[in-house]
Amino acid sequence: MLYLELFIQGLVQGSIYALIALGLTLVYGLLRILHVAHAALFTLGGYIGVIVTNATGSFTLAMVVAMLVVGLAGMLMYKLAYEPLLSQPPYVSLIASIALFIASEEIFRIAFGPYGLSYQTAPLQGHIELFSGFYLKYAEILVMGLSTILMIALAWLSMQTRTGVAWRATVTDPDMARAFGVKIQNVRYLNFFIGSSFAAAAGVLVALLNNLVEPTMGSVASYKALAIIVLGGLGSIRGTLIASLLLGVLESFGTIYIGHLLDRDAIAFAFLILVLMIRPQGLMGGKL
Amino acid sequence: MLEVSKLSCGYGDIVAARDISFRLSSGEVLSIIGANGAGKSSTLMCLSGLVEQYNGSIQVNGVELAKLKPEQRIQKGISIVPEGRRIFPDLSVLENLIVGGQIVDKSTLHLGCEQAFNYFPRLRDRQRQLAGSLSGGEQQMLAIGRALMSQPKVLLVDEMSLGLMPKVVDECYEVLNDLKQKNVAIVLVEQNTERALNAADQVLLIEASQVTWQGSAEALKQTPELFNSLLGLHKGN
Ligand SMILES: Nc1ncnc2c1ncn2[C@@H]1O[C@H](COP(=O)(O)OP(=O)(O)OP(=O)(O)O)[C@@H](O)[C@H]1O
Ligand SMILES: [Mg+2]
Repeated sequence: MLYLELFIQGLVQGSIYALIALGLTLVYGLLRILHVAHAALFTLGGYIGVIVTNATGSFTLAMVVAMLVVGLAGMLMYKLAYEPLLSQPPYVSLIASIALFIASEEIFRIAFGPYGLSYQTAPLQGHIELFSGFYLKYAEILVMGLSTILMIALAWLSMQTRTGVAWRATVTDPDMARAFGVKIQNVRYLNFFIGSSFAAAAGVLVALLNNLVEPTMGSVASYKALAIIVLGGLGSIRGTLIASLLLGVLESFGTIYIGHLLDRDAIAFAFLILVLMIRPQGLMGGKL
Repeated sequence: MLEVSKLSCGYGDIVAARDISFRLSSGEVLSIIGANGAGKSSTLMCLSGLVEQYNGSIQVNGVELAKLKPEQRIQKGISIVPEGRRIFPDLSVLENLIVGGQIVDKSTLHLGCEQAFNYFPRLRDRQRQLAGSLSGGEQQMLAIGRALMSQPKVLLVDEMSLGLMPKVVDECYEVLNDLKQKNVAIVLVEQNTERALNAADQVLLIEASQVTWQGSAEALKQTPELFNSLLGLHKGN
């Protein structure tokens, strides 16, 4: 029973990781930029979720608003911070991204106060008993369910629609895609919109699980998501999903069995180092 | 149809071609011939908008393309079969064709796929296969099929026969011939000079980024020394 519980905990955490890391993978795949400031969008999503829920009483509305607003914020971030730097070597946009991320923590502090916010009446706090003695929180069900739905929606978009096909073509050969009429500007906007709105969903869900959003909630998310995309093999969507879930489950078991030696984040990085020693290209990455 | 005048292009400080001018009517084939590094591919890529243009003008049916981005040029009827094929390896055959037909509506897209499969029946059987797993010849067929999806008026074709069996080359040239009948203007870059000259209505010779001779294929044949030296140049291929 404990195993099953730990496993579910791991999947819940892993789903959150997947939602965050996916945006990084998408941006890396398309532009070869390490989009560190992505975590700021995750935090923004969390804040919007709490604020809109508190203002309107509707968690669903809060989720939708957070995803839309943060999606647009991601597009804006691309337009203002990355697009002007595209002709520069990649480390230039990396520096810009880090700066943006650090600045964002201060902005959250100034705008919403240093101590963070909570839901006035936290939504979805109940649980159901799946079978005798085994409980699942509504919030956990929502995390796994929503992540699954979002991933399926993304898979459908990229495999079954002309836009998705154009998007994948742009990732492999942007010049050729353009030559056949793919508007790569729109592809990039779409990319940032989707990645950012997924991060926003993760932010709202984390706020729900912890009943707290705070200015620094993005920092752990940022470096862990970086670790995950490296683990998954940079730019591989499948690798990112697998690495996210694997890491979630591993951390979940690890905190119980080796928690006295290493804390949750240390376990994650120990695992990262271990994998990279054996497979430097990551779990799913191609040749280096 | 396609009118190019005083075109120069290159990569920053490296000039790849200068002062290229020609005028091509619909259903005509222009062969550009020159040694490795002469600037042939750069010229084609410049027509598509993928290589920087310094000077000159490119007009398709009187519409100036010079200021247009690549994604806008294809709307004006120009399409490319690039050097090295450059199919999208991790997309399926069908998906490659869909990208080629990015600018057309759904029904034209279906017609385009049918056309590509009729030209190259082998692609029909492999439409769900990843393009990267096709043989070289099949990849070339796909590159041609993809370029035709937008129903171009001008087709740019670079090194189509490189590395292909003569039989497959024949197949590809038959398609070009059919397109010619359908009034598509074709600019052909080809190492196989014999084939290039056979197909050509007009010929343009480039050497070290400069045009050294240009005229009709007829005129070239009446200049035996030049004609023979051209054929001799690539006898090895
Ligand atoms: N991406 C690039 N950056 C800088 N210079 C380039 C680039 N591509 C080509 N060149 C240069 O431009 C010149 C013309 O190259 P191009 O590829 O157009 O020649 P080509 O006639 O097609 O040759 P080949 O027969 O070998 O295909 C060459 O000197 C080449 O080195
Ligand atoms: Mg070439």
